[in-house]
Order: sequence, then structure tokens, then C-alpha cells
Amino acid sequence: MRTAFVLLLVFFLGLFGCSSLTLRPADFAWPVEQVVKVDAKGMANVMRYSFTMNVKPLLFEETGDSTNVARWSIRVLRDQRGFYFLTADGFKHVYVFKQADAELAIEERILIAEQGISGSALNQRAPHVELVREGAPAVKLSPDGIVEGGSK
Amino acid sequence: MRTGLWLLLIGLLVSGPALSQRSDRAVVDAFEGRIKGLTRAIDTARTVQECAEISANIDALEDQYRPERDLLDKALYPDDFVQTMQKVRDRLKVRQADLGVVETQFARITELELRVVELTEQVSGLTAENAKLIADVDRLTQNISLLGAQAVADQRMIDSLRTVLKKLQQNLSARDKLIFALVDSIFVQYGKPGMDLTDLEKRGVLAKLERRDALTSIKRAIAENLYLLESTALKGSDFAEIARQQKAFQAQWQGLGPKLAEVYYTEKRKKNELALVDSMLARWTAKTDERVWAALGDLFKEKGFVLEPFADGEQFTASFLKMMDAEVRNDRNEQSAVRMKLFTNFDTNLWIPELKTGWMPTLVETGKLTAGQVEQVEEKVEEWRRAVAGISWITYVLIAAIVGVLAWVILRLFVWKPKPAKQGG
Repeated sequence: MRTAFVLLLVFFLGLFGCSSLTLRPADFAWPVEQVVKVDAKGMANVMRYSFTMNVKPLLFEETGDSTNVARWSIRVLRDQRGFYFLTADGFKHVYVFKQADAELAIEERILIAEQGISGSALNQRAPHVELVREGAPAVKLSPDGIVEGGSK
Repeated sequence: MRTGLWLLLIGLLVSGPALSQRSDRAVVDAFEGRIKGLTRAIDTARTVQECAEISANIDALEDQYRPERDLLDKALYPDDFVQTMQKVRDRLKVRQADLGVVETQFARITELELRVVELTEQVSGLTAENAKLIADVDRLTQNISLLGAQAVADQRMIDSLRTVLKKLQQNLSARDKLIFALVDSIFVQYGKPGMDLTDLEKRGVLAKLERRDALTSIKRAIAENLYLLESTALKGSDFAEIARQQKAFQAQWQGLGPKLAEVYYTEKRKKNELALVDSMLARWTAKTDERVWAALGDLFKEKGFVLEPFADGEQFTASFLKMMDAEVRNDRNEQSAVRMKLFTNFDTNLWIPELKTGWMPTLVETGKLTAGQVEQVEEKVEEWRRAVAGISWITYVLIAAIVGVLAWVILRLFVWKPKPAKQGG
């Protein structure tokens, strides 16, 4: 009986000791999007927030070409929850990524226009992200997709 | 310096409109670009006038971007909006101190510069409004022309066109005045006539005139006034005002010409610009003359009097006097009653309401007729009046004489019976 009690106590103490510490709320929202030029190696460096990512796979996914990458400028905006929204002029989609261990993992591909987006810009409109573009109404986005203003 | 301020002005024009679908990034970038432009301008400023202009631009920038303060506070790093503006102002103060600018002089010139900014905005506002009015005039004229071909042109549509034209005319007149006030305000900042300016000051004035698009505005004003003159919907009475407007513009241009020449002739490539304005103005003058005299001729026709064609004041006077002489001499041998009727028609429908009180003073005021020519015209009208009235007076005297004689005979026969002679006693 005593042994059982000691084991139970050790179990609960261990349980509390292992539980994660949560800081809530946290707001990751950037006030304005960053427009970053992709270099010849396919790296995009967001200087203001000191992070770099390889966007070659993204460009290949969108265009089927991962060689001529230096002509692209990628628009990046982080929303309140910490998801990264990426797009560029000529893209059909807005891509939503979440941060992982030394990588950005795809969360959602949001189709905006089959013929490609022109004059695009991402605005912070917490809790959403707004996509503005030429000749079409603005679209409100969440990490799950279009919230308002689009066909999807 | 000039490049920097040009960038500022381009920024002001391009980044101004806040669209509902706008990019926050674009707003921030435009603001930061303007701040960079101001900083460059401050670092290269060499005169108090340049400092005053930069100061006015800082105020304008702050006013323009105040509605975006929340966004800029978050986006600007490490400063916020207020700190960013303050840093620019501090930088300007340091520059002023380096240049030895006296505070009172700076304050006075800044005030004048703010007036220039205000006038520039008003000119831009009217220019934008005029562009819309001109588009309306084009649209209405086209519609009327299409409907006219089908003989169903609507009177309301014609009235609408006339209303728009009237508004355009008023706007053009108001903007003409503002443009010259703007140019004048720039010169006033230097407190001396163009010929007394130093080369540095002349270059400063030239740069300011260019940044405010002064000559472009003047050329645009002439072009739009010429456009107005082309409209077929204008009536005779409109031309009096148009001629007055053209004369006022010409007088103001002539007043500014020598000052501008001093400034513009500092750069070879700019010389032609003044010549171009002169030539445009000459075209406007000629066109105004053409339309004014044609409108006056049409007025005579409309009232039933035909003059020989005329295209200037001398020809008009000759033609008018010729017609009057024919009437005085009664070349058509008309009855006095017919002549009286014709003169009365001329006097009450054309001479008094249109010519004497409207056209003649305007033609003298705008230099198209001399006072002597008007005097000749007036004398001839009076001569015609006397010629017509003279016949009638004789007739009335004769009638009065006959009536008098008849009355005397009746009285003599029936009323005044002679008293019988006294009997001799």
C-alpha cells in the first residue's frame, strides 16, 4: 500500500514537472508585409525580422521552375497567430506556412486566381490577413482559407 | 538639391490618394521615401527660401500622413511617426543654424511659402475639377451632335451644356487668378524684383516655379481657355466675359514677363518656354478676337441688321458707320413711319440693351475698340435718331398748324360773333 502511494506520488510529480509552460496570449503579427527579393540561390532574407528561408520549393510548386528564381520578389506577412502568408505577383495562390524546426511547413494553399495575381499586397487586418490586388476586390484570409471577399 | 525636391513633389503627387484598396507597405514606403527626400533637401539647402520651402513640405507631409499614424507608429522602426517628424525638423534647424538664417526672416518667408502651398493645392483642385468639366462638355457636345443629326436635340441637354460651360468659364477665370497669385507669391519671398536677384536666388526661384508647375499651369490655362472658345454652344453674351478674361490674363502675363525672363534666361534650355507661352497667348488673343467679332456680327444678324463683314475694331467701326450713313441718307427711300419703326427696333432691341450697355464698354475695356471709335459710333446713332425724329417733328408741327387754323376758323364763324356797331347818338 505504501509502495503504491509512493509510486502514485512520483507519477503525479513527474507529470507536473513535464507539463509545458504556456505564455498566452502572444501576438506575432507584423504591422506591414515585407517584400523580399529572392537571390540566385533561392534564398529570401527578411532583414527586419532577421530570418531567412529557401523559397525555391515554393517557386517550383507555383511555376514549375526552380532555376530562374532571382527575378522574384516574395511578399511575406506573419499573422497574429504566427502563420506566415507568402505570395508574389504572378502567383495563383497565397501560401500559408507554420514555423517548425528550422523549416516552414505548409499549412494551406489558398487559390486566389487561376490566371495569376497582379498588383498584389498583403495587409495586416487582425485577426485576418487581407490580400489586395489590381482589378479585383480585396480578400480576407485566415490560415484555413478565404474568409471574406473571394469565391472560395 | 533640385533632384531631391523633385522627388518630393513627385512623391506628393503620386502617394497622396489613399485608396480603399491600398497596400500598407506602399503607404509606409511612400512615407519613408518622402522623409528621405526631405533629408536630402535639408542637407543641400543653401538659402532661407529653400529652408522655408522644406519647412512647409514637412508640415504638409505631417498633415497628409496623420491619418496613417497608427500604421506608421507600428511600421516605422525604431522611431514612431511623431519622432520621425521631429527628427526631420531638428535636422532642418541645424541646417538653418549652419546657414545663419535669421528666425524672423525665416518665419516671414515660411508664411509666404505656406501661401504658395495653399495656392498650389487650389490650382490643382481646380485643374482636376476642370478636367471633369471638360469631359462633361465633350460628352454633352457629342450627344447633342448625335441627337441634332436626328433632329431631336433636347433643349434640356443644351441647357445642361451651357451650365457646364458657364461653370468651366468661372473655374478657368478663378484658376487664372490663382496661378498668377502663386507666381507672384514666389517672387515676393525674395523681396526684390527679378533683375536684382543674385544668380543663386534666380536659380532658387526657377526651381520653385518648376516644382509648382507654374509655366505648365499657365500653358494649361491658355489651352483650356482656347478649348472653351471652340465650343459652339457659347452665346454672344458669353464672349464679353471671355474677352475680359483673356485681356486680364494677357495683362498679368505681361506684368510677370520681365521677371520671368530674368529667371528663365539663366538657363538656355528654358528660354524657349517663355516664347512658347507668348505664342500660345497670341493664338488665344487671335482666337478670342475672331470669336468676339463673329459673335457681334451674329448679334446684328439676329436683330435684323446686316453689316459688312468685319474682323477688328476698325473694320467694325467702318461697317457700322456705313450702315448708319445709309439709314441717315434714307437710301431705300422709305416712308418716315417705316424709318421710325426701324430705328425704334434698332434702339430698343440692339443699341440700348446690347451694344451701348454691354458690348461697347467691354470692347473698349478689352482694347478692341478705342474710345474715339465708340464716340464715332454713338454720334452716328444720334444722327440717325435726329434724321428719323426730324421728319416726324415737322409732320407734327404741320398737323398742329392745320389743327390750329381749323380751330381758329370754327371759333371765328360760330363762337366769336362780332359785336354790333354802336348806334351813333
